[in-house]
Amino acid sequence: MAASRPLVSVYNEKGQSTGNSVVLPAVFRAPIRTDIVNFVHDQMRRNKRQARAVSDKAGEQTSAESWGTGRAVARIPRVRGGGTHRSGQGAFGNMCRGGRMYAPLKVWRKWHRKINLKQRRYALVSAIAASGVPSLVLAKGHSIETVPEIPLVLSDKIQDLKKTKEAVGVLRKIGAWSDILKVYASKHTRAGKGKMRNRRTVMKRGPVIIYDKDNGVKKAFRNIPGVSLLSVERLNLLRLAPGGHVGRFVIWTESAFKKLDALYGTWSKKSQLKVDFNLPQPIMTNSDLGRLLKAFEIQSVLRAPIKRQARRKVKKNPLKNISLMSRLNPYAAVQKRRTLLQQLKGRRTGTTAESKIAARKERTHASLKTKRLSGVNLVKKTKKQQIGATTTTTTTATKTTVSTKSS
Amino acid sequence: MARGRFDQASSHVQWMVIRNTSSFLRKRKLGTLTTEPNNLRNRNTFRSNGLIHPKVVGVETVKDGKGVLFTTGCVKNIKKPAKRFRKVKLTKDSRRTLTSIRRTIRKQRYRKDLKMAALRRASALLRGQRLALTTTPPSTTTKTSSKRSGKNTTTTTSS
Repeated sequence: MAASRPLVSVYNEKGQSTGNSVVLPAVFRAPIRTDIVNFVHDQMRRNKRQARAVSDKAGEQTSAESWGTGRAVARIPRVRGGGTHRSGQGAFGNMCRGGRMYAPLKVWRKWHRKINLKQRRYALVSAIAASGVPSLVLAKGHSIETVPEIPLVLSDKIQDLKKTKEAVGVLRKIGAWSDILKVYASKHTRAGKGKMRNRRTVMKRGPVIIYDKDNGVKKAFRNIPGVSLLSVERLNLLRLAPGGHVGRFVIWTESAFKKLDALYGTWSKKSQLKVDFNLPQPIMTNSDLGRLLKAFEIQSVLRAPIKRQARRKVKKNPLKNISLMSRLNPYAAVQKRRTLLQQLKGRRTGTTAESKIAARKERTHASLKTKRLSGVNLVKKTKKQQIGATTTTTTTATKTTVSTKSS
Repeated sequence: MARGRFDQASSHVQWMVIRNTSSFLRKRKLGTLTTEPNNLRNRNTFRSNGLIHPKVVGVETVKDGKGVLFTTGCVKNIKKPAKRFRKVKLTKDSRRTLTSIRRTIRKQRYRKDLKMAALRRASALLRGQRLALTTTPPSTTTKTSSKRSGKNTTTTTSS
């Protein structure tokens, strides 16, 4: 395994670094498999359940019988006899008032779950590994901004603490107190019936203290809200990954920390304290995707990146789109400008094509009218007008001056 | 980043854990945001995440005062939360604040992809502080404006 195992310094109860340091146990380099943790946690959580059921007599303690058809009532069994409200009421059905429920709960429901040993251990190992990654601990919600180092290892003197006051002092000195303050702030009344079932307050989880030998640690720390205590030999996933989420803030004692290698093994050495266990093999030896992608072996096989993708072009109509037209025919812009100017001029002086057509129409109408009144043959006149019209049309195509002459 | 340091917990692996499960996540109809400390845009993306990367840039307001706190992550001390961040108080005028942020990022080649985000966030925060001064009511305005992400503040506080 190419995992680097740096030295982790040990801190004393005053929060200062003692000279000692321990090599990081290989567990902290194990793969972090949140899916396995989630699954195992889910299964493990069921193991503390107590059986509950409904009385099997409930709703069955009647001798009700259905009245059958023909009585203008629904066919459910009804209570016999008379003289009381209960007589004639429906019984036995789950829909009936005072009837038994649908599928009455039985005690022999499968409350507990068996989880494979390997899975259990894998989950635990992942949870421990995740507790050594500061970002995951922060993301879990712990305030570790003032903690000197993650994983946090304290000297074995902690195990000999007897007073809670001293324990609090230690937590303050190592910068873990802000996490406890968070716990204090999060205390609130439970929602739901648990209130009346001796589970009134709920609060966040704070740090876990993992020790090797209990010379008073447990008693010293247990009254501090949020703190959990665990022995290294008996680590509990429900405490290391509360809620199924990895990254609880863990405080190790030195001997506990040193025991981890013996407990979980390194890849080159099997575990000494567990039967036939070695750390799980990761799927990727190098999980740093960023570095992998920049590596020569990959880069040399890639094609060049397409920085500028040629996308589908919408075809535009040059006849409607002036910029496209002038790209195809630069003279078109000139033409268009000229006609525009002409139109502007013509609008004022009546020399545009439309105005000319309009003027011509007026003239034909006027002359036709006079001819009619005077009684001349109109057919000839129209022919003349047509000839005249053609001449005028040809001249309008060229210069303005010519058309004015003809009209 | 030191080779092999986070063999199984590289920033990519951490991202896969954090991306959907984090105490800082805020999922709402208008999108997913995060409230983690050194996220310049408060966006839940790999690049802008403030926890995962060894090199990280953060800009926050100075509490009860003028100026901006410019944070950079120290690569050496990823495992030492107490020493992880280098915080610099920038309390001069905005021009100087912005240039010092810009230069630090540019000259050190430190997360160049975050340069504009840092500048925008800084200017939005400074703007909030200026506006808080003009509208006389006490300092609560500075605090709320610092909580919102930079881009939002620039659009909403257009008084």
